[in-house]
Amino acid sequence: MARYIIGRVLGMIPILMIISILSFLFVHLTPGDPIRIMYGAEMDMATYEKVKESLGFHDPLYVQYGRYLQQILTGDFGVSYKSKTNVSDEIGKRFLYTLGLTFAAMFWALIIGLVVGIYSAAKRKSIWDRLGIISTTTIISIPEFWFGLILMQIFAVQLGWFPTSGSGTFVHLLLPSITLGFGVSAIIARFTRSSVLEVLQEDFVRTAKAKGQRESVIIWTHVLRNALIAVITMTGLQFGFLLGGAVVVEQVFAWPGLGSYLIDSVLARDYPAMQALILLFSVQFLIVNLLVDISYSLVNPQIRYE
Amino acid sequence: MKSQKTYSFYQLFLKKFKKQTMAVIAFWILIGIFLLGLAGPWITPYDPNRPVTEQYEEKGIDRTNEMTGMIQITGIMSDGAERPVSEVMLQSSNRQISSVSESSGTITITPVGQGSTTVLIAKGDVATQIQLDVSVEDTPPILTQLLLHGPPGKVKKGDILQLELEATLSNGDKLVGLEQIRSNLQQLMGARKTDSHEKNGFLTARKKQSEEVGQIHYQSTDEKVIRVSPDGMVTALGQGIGQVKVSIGPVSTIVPIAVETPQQEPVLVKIKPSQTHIALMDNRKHQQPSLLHWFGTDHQNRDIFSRVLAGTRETLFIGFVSVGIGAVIGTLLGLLAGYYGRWIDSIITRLTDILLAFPGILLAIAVIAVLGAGMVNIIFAVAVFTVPIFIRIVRGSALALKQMTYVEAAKSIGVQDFVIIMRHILPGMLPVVMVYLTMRIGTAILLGAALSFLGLGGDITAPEWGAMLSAAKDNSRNFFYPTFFPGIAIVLTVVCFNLFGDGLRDTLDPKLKE
Repeated sequence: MARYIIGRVLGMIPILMIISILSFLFVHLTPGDPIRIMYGAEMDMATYEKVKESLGFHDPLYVQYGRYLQQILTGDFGVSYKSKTNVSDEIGKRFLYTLGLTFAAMFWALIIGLVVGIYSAAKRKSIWDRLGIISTTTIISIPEFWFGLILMQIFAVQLGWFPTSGSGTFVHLLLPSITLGFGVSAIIARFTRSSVLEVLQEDFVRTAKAKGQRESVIIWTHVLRNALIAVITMTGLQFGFLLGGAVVVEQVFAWPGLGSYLIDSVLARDYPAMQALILLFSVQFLIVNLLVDISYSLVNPQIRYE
Repeated sequence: MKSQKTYSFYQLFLKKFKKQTMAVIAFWILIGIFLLGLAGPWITPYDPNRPVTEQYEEKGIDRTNEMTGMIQITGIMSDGAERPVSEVMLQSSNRQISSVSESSGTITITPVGQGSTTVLIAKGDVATQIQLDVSVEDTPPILTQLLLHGPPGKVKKGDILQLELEATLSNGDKLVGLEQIRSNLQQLMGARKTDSHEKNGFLTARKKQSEEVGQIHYQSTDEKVIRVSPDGMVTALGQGIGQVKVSIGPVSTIVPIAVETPQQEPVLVKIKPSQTHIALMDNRKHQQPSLLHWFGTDHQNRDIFSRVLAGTRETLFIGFVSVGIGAVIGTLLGLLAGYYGRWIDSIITRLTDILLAFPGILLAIAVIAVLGAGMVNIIFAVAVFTVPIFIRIVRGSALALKQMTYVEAAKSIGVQDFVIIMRHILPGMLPVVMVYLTMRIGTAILLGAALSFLGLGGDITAPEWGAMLSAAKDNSRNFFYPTFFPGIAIVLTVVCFNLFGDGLRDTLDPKLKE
């Protein structure tokens, strides 16, 4: 087991290296001179050269990359061009907001997804099952930003139950997290349904039925236990989807997380912030995937020896 | 012998596909959407890029009646006769909402902004107020007119009389007597005060005014003839003709009282407008959905229905082109990786792993961060997001097909690799590629709309569904229709692509199902 985990962690290193190189090259790939963007177009050549020197842009690229790597490993992501504050401070302030939003969304997605999925599978071919299939297909096709605007219109503007945007209390979290979790709940529901249906074909289910066990007992004890392994893995993989979705949903509800920071910095061409955020999001995604793989190998021993 | 009917591949496919009711329905809706997309620019009822108000004249639509309000006013004299009045003093209490003008007894009200306001019509000591709502509903009624009933008989010196006051509200209700007016007014003013407070927090000057408004003021024009107490008790003091003026806020009326002299010429006591409450639509932006504008108009008064129709083409274009580019590149790389294996395979597989290491939308945002905002760059971003998925599928499929006996046979007789790939491997994986192509178009439309919504599409004035949503999101709290209809269009299109894709998958390759 330990060998498997170490192998997986070591396997991440090349990908991490490439991601860091890409995010480092970001500043150099983009059109426009970062110094001009930072200090404005009207500056004389002497100060320009001085700034370039102080930022180390004269050094060869590999030296710059080494310095960049050193900085990010110590958690220093540079200074934002726009607000002139430390990017890592800003990220530290916003990180928990995005994490909270993602977890709350996952909570809703799991609850709705599992209930709908299990019910659809247990009552397969019934009207509820068909309704479930149709509504999950529809939900997957709904843009989450639009869904968020509609929820805001109904529950915040018309009914006045929730605040339209902002953050701070638990109530503020409700609408954004439901918006974000809704799409994933449909994916989980579909997957749970097919996974439960698959397990229902197994011999041990037939045996249980043959001995006259009640349907509900079969579902809850024999089927779910086996079906949920796959569902858990799938759920973990959806975290990446949620991280991406958070970018959009945060923008709709003015949620002060990393996603809205990313969009603001892209629109303002604030390269240090962009670099840091893209790096952070992909590292997060990689770590989540790693955790999912490890937990999967814990429940399913076959995978370890592949 | 019974002849066995043989079916071609396509006939078999059609036979199977027709059993998927949902997919068939989705397919026909998609055909409809395509046709709309193709015909889009020619069938829009209005020019999607210009405000509709500019277009009414060209289309011969006359909307001046709805846009301006006409009110006839007549004067009521103290003897009950009706006479036309002119040369009245007009005042709109909020010029940002409407402007008013008068000519020979007809008042014309033209809305300039949205909200609720009052128009004061005054002549001499008589003033009437009209309530004016522009594009707002459910405003509380206001006081519009006052009428003091004169004494029934002759008035002698020393008489003390109570004049009956009658107030008319903008909803037509009449309040008679001081007590009733007072209690109702306080309630009304209270409602208005909180109302104005809510809408604009900086109107402190008006708030003060409205506190005074609740008071009923009596005033006598000639203190030698009559005196009036603050609660409306009139005492006749001397001979002559006096007038009692009563006012509540800006609304006022007078009544002449002749003490020990015969009544003289009747005076104007009331200005009666043909309507006391007038509701107008502001046609310059955000028109509600109506028969004329099915989906309403947006913040620049452009017809949303026309924009949704015109946007069909652009949205479909983004979906198709981006997935097309992604699929072609992905298929090529996947074929190379799967067919040749070895170092080509490991390079391409690593590349795929890295691309898949970013969550989809972040990859697209990163691409746009490098290329800059713009519609074309959105297409590239979505294409980059699509490539790794196709590489994976095609590579896996190529690996399997490579093992087939017919491929081995072709290889052993020395057929060129290019020919083998094109003739033996590519056709074999076409069903899988087709299925993913359809399913990915839905996702691509969603992603394109999301990027456009985030403001990464550059031009948000273009009639594209995501851009429309982006432009409308700032006003989404007040108006639902500018965001609702483009969103529904996206949902319908993506649902159809997904259902059609599901149907294709079940028909072409049932193994792919989950």
